[in-house]
Amino acid sequence: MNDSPSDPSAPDLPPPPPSGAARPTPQRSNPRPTAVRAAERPPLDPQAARAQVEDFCDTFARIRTELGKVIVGQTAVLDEILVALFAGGHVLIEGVPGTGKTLIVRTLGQALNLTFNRIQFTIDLMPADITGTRVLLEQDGKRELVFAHGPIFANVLLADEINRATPKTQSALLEAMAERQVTVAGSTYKLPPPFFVLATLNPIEMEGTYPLPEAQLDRFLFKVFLPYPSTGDMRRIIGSTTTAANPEAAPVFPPRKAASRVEALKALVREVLVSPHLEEYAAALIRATIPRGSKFAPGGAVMLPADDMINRYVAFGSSPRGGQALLLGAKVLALLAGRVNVTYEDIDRVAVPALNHRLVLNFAARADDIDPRALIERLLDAAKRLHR
Amino acid sequence: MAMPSFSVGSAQVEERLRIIRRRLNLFTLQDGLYLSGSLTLLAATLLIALALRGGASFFAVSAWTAAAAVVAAFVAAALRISRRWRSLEQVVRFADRQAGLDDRLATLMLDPSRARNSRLKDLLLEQILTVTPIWDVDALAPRRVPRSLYVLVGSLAALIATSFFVRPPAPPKPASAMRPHIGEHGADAVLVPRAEDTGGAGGGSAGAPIQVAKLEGVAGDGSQPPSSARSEGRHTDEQGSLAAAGQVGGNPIPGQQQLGEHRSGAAAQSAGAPPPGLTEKLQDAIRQALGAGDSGDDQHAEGHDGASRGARTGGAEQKNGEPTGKPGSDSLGKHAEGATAQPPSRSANMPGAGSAASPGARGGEPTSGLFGSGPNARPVGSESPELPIKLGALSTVAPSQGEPQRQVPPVGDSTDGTVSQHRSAGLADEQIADAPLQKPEVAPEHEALVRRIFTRDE
Repeated sequence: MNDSPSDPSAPDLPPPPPSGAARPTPQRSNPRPTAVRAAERPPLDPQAARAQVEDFCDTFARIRTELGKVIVGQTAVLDEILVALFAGGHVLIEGVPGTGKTLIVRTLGQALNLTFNRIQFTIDLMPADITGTRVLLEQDGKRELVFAHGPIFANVLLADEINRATPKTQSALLEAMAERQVTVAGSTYKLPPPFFVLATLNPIEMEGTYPLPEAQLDRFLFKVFLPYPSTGDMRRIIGSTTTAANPEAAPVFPPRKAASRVEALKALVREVLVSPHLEEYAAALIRATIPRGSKFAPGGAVMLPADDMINRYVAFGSSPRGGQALLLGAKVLALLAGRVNVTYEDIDRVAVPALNHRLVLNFAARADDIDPRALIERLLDAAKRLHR
Repeated sequence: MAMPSFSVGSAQVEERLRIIRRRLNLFTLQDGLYLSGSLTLLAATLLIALALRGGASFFAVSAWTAAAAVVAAFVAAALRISRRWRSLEQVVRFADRQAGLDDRLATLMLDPSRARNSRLKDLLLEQILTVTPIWDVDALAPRRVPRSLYVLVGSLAALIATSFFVRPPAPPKPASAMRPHIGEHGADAVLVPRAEDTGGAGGGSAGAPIQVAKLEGVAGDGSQPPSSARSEGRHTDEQGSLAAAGQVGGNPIPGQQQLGEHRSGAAAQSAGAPPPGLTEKLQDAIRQALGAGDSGDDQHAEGHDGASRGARTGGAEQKNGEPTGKPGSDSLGKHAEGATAQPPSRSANMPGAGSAASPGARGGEPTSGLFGSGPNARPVGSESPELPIKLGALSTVAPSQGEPQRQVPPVGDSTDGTVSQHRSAGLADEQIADAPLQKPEVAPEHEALVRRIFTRDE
């Protein structure tokens, strides 16, 4: 917990690797902080904690402002993306072409002053094209196999049209997204924190695409939908992007502090407190997404009544990762509200982006054109009536 | 430094929550108790009103219903209290909601260990303490009495008002009004219906079912021992002896209605002027029943010939072993009418006794004793079937007069203690006279003992 003298508002974190260091050394082990170590950390006095919370809110607002300079409209999508960023998750963006998906991700990288890479997924894309591979390099008369890092080694990664790659290639992201590391030829390479993946999906031109497997979908904290901009936003987009002076997002963090600042803010998010009854509420929501009669349905008491729509249209419900996503997203929202504790409203607000891609609908749902977001909204309505 | 402040602040929050919880639970407890108490008071009020005004059967039903309602009310109150009894978690969440603390209290209090390990716990506690005025104890759980207290007060007022304003109905005329008749006519006068019931001679039978029943039990069977000769029994014996002369022979009375109607006449008479000198009349009547009052029958036939004739007729028929209820009923009916029609004079107003009165009792003539020639001589002995009747009649009537038994021998009595056989002048040809009764020898001390016993009863 050493605050940098040059940046008093920066939370105390161990010095991060230099931003943009795309050549990390492979590591065989990844010791995780234990609960004991977390408990040993000294508590923050109220003034320091309040300062950190205010810094979080201020940073969030500044990033939003910088994104808003480039991205016209889509405020809800930007908020959800930033929430996922500070919650430590990844975002799957689904939208029609030309709505600014790639622009959003690139602008975010600029605003955060983090390294940014883009991978255009195609059907012939290979895993090594993402993770990197060993190449034979001749240096000083010697030949040796050197690991050439792939584009995945970046702080912000845009996986554009991820569903156009084969499942084999898509799975190359699994380990990276979950473990923040890549294993190539028996060697594990740690990805530089923060590692933030934004993948886009094109809902049209479904021919020649490979829907993401459920395991892959589950790695994404949020799935957000990027709608068409409104008429007013459309006019502003047209006007701002067809001039000689294109707007640019100014970096919020200094170059060498960006990663540590982001990690510090992410750590602060995890310090937010959650009451037991809110954890119970989140668990009840997750349990309610699992249809009755499913062979994977858990036992125990059901805190929310089974919804007929869920039983009829859902093949598989959310995994526990959905619950994690609920609480992490809710914590970010709590901090943004100036609180250090989560409320019901925080959980409700992140329920749709956190759960909608985790509901695996059956054929009947597709036939009836059922939107999983509508199912989640029904669950939330029932929860508001019964659980509180 | 942060830990102590957190602890102090946390203790402050915990104390405040405890106070809130205590107040809320006390309110719930008071509410439940007041409601159940109100229902109990209302039930008591209803029961008091019913006890004072309602019928016995309705009161019993209402009492059980009220008891069940009270029990149900207490059970419901207990359930209500247990359902509304707030745990610490509920109080925390209640305070969170009421004060708009956004689950801060729940976060701090419901998992203290986790909160204590968080680096933001001090900020959380500070946020809670900053808004302390919002969730002040008096703001969240003010001291107040539940509205059910008003219900309780109202119920109490209803109970008091009921006890003040609802009076029991006027009690029936005390039996003391009838006491003079009891002394003169026997204890069954208590059971005699009131004057309005006995206003008519013929209608008097409707008011005497109990008497009829007792008459059935005692006088209906002449062989019944006198052990049950309580006041009613004595009267019954007396009535039986007066109503049916055939009982002298130990035969059952022909038809129970005779006794009932006869008693009705007696009751009607007793409601009027009580006849003094009943002992003499009774003795005359018994003597008449025994067939010793020949001359008296002739004189008394003017007012009572129907009754005396009916009595004799009934006795004669029983003698023949052909008990017929009809003649007996008719004769007693006449007797009752005649008795009722008589003026309430001393000589003629002799219900029961007067119906079969002998002339010896009239005009203040000395009445011959039934029990021998001694001062207290009286035939006593288990061998005499008439003994219960005689003793009953004597014990209920004679001592009240306070006059000693006369020692004038009866008309038909012989000096040897036997009753001479008389043939009544009014006997029909087909009738036969009663067999003479042998008066057994009774020691004077025994007779005195018996007399003392019955005198003490009076």
